[in-house]
Amino acid sequence: MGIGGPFFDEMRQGADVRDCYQAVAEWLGRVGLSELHIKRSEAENLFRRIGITFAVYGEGGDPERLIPFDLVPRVFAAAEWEWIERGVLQRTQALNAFIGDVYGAREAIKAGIVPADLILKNSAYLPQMAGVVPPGGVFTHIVGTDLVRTGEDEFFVLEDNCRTPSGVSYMLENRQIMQRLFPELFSTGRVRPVGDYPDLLRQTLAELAPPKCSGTPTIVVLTPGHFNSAYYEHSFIADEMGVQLVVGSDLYVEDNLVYMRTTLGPQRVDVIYRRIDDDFLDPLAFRPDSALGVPGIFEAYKTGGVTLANAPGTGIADDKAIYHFIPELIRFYLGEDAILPNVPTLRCALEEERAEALSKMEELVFKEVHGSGGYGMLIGPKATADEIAAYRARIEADPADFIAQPTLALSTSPTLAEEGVVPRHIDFRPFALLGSKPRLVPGGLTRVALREGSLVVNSSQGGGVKDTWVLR
Amino acid sequence: MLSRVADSLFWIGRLIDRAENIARLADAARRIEALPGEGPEPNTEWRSTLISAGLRDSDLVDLDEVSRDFAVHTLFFERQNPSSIYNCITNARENARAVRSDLTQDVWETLNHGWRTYRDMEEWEHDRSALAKLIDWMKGFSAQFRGALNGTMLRNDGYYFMRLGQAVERIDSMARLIDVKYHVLLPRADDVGSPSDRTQWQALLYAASAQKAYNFATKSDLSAQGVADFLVLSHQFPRSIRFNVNFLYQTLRQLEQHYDQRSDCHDLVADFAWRINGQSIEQVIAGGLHEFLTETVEQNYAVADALSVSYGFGAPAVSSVDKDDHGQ
Repeated sequence: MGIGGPFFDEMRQGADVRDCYQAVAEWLGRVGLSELHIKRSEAENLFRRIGITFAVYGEGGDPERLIPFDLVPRVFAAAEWEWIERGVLQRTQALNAFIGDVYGAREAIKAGIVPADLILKNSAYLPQMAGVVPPGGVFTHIVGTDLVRTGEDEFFVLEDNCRTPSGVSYMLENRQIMQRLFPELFSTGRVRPVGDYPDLLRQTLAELAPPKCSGTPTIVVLTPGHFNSAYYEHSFIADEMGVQLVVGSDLYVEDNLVYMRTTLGPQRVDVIYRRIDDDFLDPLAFRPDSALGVPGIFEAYKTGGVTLANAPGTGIADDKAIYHFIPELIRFYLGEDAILPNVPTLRCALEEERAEALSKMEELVFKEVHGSGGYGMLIGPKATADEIAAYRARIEADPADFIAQPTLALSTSPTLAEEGVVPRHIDFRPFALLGSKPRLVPGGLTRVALREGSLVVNSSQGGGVKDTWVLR
Repeated sequence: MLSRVADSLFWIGRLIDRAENIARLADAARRIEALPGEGPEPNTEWRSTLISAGLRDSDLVDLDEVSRDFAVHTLFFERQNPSSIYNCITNARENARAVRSDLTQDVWETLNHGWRTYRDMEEWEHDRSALAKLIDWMKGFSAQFRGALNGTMLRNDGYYFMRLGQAVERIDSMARLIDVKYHVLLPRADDVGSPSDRTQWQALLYAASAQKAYNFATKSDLSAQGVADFLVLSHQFPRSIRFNVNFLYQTLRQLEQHYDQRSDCHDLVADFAWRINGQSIEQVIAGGLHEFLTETVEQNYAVADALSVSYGFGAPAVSSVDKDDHGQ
């Protein structure tokens, strides 16, 4: 693994096109560049018209922006997917078991697998959750696991997202747009559909209705509001599931039951797919200044009046300081070896590993333990000496806040640029569901770094998205 | 349906109709100013248009210093004017975004596309010849919006709340328009029958988009009483006060049937309809048209209030507290 490559090309091995990319390669050979550019602007118009945007306020310019959509799909062969699916579902179950353990018996601490301090003094640990057992023992109903590929058989888990992972609307919309623009690509029926995700999500949520719910559970999606950057996704998911989208002020709690205010008076709410962070969920239990949440909802949750998905406190499992232990935790809870490995990680909190990391800063990627969105990173091979020196000072001031990883040679996928179809680095986020059983739709969100040579795929850093095909 | 959603839908109905009414007012002013010489001094028309648009007491407007360009800017694009077409469309679209899943794709896309298009038309503001195009666009946009509503929305509570908003807005704007034109701007009594008086009647009909409808429906010459009768009490004219009060009542009845539950504000709306339907124009004028119109506006307000209480509109339609990102 190194920055200089060679990079694994998803489409070609030498002069040969990989089997799963035959259709894509044939299509790229057939349509001209100018047609691709025309179709791309058509796609952009569709995204704008439908309103598939993310909102960025306070930076000037148009507050509603598009995530650039690349027309060239990313393809998984059936066998590759079978492997990824097993690996992702395995990891999802282990992460859930770990959260249950953290807020329950703490077996993993007792067995000496994870140091107690790393959990109990972690800012992602929510003491209010101690002893809480949610319906079905499920804490993480929805998990987004970020994967990268570095070779034919080399996949790594870059990070887990157990709080409120976003991006699934792009998985669904990208497919719809592709089918609309290039229906002929789907005529062979080899691309497995992803469109039943909303039904599976609703099913997952309904299966985990709270004890006090009788009859068919009423499900809602709770959003911080239409100024939130991911508002489009919140409304899209609610719409696709056929459930109500609510904001905090639509809900209230009485006698530890949750109601929404409707034109015909109060209506009971049983399951809340919440897209509000823990801190803002309930001003009585967490941040008292939150205007977005619902006072009393946490008590209603603890007493079985309502199900929150995901549960509060799940952030402990996707914390970068815990990441290191996940393969061992898979073994501990499931008795299996991890199917998808971690990226080898140096923890700056440990003196020995810190020394090693600091000795080769120009080779490594450094991340803040609690950072996200591609902010606060240092990519050693791309950084100047000054940047490295400044970052070193930050690490030395607060070593426990940082981890270091090798600069991964992320695989590249053919991507449309002005000058033609060129290789760009990609990653992948599938969306696992955990209800009475684990589920994974064959697809996910492929993110692509549109700038030449860039390894950062986050939309906040110039990344785009692609349709992801899983072949039969 | 969530009360917040009902509130937003009600306001979408109001705001689009308000934007259209403002475009129609501007259209009348544009036509009147193009009439040859005899009319009132230049810009009187624009001044009265601003008053009809509810800006009489606004800090934005000095009524002694009204120019055409100023009026057009204020009515079409001024961000500080809460009822500028720009703000009406932006707020309607913002409300629609907040309740997207309660609208059909067609209705949402109409509003979203209209909002994007209108933002791009701002550069037309200083092109005098473009005013007619702006007005045409606005009328076309609201027709498309209504078409999308009629053609795609389920006839359920959401649809009825939008229609209630539309009725309330039309009653309000027509009552204000007649009041302004009839009493504030009308010349002295001894001018009645003079050519300039005729121009004024025409102006009022234009502003109400009623000039041809009046001729078709009444087949009679312009007269003060005839015009007032038409705009206030016509059964046929879809912008008259009576038409919309009855429409309000019928829509509320449909909502009640949908919910199978009588609304708390039923009696108030029934009283409103009873008062409007129970009078001839002679009785209205004998009692004072201004007083009648004032009472109509107040009763209309009371109805809008009562609707919001009956259906639990608690939270503001567009909240400003959630501007920060606290979720993913």
